[in-house]
Amino acid sequence: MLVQLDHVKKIYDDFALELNMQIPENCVTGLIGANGAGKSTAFKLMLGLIRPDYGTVNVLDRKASDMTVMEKEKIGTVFSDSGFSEYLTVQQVIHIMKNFYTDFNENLFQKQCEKLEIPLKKQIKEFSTGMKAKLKVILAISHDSKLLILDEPTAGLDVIAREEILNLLRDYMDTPGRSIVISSHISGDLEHFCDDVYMIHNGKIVLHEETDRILDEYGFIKVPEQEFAKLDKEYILRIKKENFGYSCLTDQKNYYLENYPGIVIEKGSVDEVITMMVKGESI
Amino acid sequence: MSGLIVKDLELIRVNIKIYLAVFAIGVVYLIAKKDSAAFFTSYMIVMSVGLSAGTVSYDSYEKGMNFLMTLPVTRKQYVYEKYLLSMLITLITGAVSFLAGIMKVQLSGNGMVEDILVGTAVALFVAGLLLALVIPLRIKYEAEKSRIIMLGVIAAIFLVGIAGKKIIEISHGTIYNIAEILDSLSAGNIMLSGVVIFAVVVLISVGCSCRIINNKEF
Repeated sequence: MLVQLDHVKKIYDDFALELNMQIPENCVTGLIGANGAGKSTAFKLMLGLIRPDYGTVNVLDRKASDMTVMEKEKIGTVFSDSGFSEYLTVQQVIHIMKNFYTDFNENLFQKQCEKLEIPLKKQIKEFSTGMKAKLKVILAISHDSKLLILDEPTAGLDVIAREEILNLLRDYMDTPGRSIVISSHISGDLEHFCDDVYMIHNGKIVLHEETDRILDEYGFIKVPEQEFAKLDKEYILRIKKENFGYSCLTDQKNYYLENYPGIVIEKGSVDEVITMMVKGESI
Repeated sequence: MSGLIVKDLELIRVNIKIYLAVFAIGVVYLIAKKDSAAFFTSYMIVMSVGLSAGTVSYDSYEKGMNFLMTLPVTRKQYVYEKYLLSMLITLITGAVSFLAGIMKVQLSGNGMVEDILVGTAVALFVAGLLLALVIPLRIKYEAEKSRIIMLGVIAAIFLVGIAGKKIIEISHGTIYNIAEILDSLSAGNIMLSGVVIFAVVVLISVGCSCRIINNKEF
């Protein structure tokens, strides 16, 4: 495992985060949740920026808070709200990166900057939001990192910029042995990019599932009240009262299709599944 | 650690015009005023403290420390780099302004080289103590709060000065004895005592900074 959070608990005055997470090699893991759900806290735990009150956080086989320079060289990080000083130019950042990372690939970095039209001689503060975000991702992928930890790398970007960033990350994953942990409050961004997703709500993981399974096997059963009463509830995760009766989220769509001929089951997006997990009622 | 040094030097380069302007004021004063060499070296050294301590504040702007601590650098290395760079900048500034001061004395024939040497040594000593105080404060409280705390510290030093003056007035005899003892010490002994005090204070300061940054959550 590249990252392992074992029974981790971080307690603040008005918020507590509880996590159990594993990030294996060759895997893109998404952290989805509303603002303030605990995604950034989870990332800070992985990066050793904060320490858990309970449990252990291991990254690249070492306690996150004890990571050495060598382990840190293998991690690329993006925060949506911080980075190198914006008074620097990209050319100055190249100089700095060469001195921080032994494997900094200046050629690759410059090629990516050229491709995505990132000017080298302008101060970063003069960049658009999209350019700043692209620069952060290019920096994270240009030093042969094994693990990318990306906190909202697409926050505030238009569709084209978001797709450009996701393409950079897809190229990064072409090399075996690498993994990405990425967060977004726009789950649609991650739907076709992540291998599995963790959904965090109010500091707790409410769902951990492979993305393909969510798309293929999760569904919304739409039934009137009389039929709902007769429905086998074993594979129902959440229910919601609707005008027509009930909308029920299941993770065994095929079971209901086989056993209840004629039943209406709609396919749900990751967004819809997540909304139901948060807003729906448990049985 | 070279990454941190290069980052700080690049950030200093961004603001080089402001720093040059501040140093230029000192140079103008040195050229225009008689017997200005000793004040000039002290001014330059104290200004260099502001320059190097400013790099800690720069790091903390816009949650910069969060990102910085994810780069291949340990918390201890960060602390060591801040002391190393600050001391180097102060020493280089001290050496350059000392040479400029000597040139002024040689060219104008006003003042004594010994005065500049003592002035520079005292200014370097004070600058070192100032850095030993400022760096841990800046690491703990970051830019805004540490500025307020520094104002408090300066006010406290001022009050201690006033209190010291009162004590001298009240207990004239005792203080006179201490001054006599100091007078009897050779220059070498005074310098050695200064170096020992400086080393102890800096070591305590580095230890405090390491503790602060290790306990810090970003």
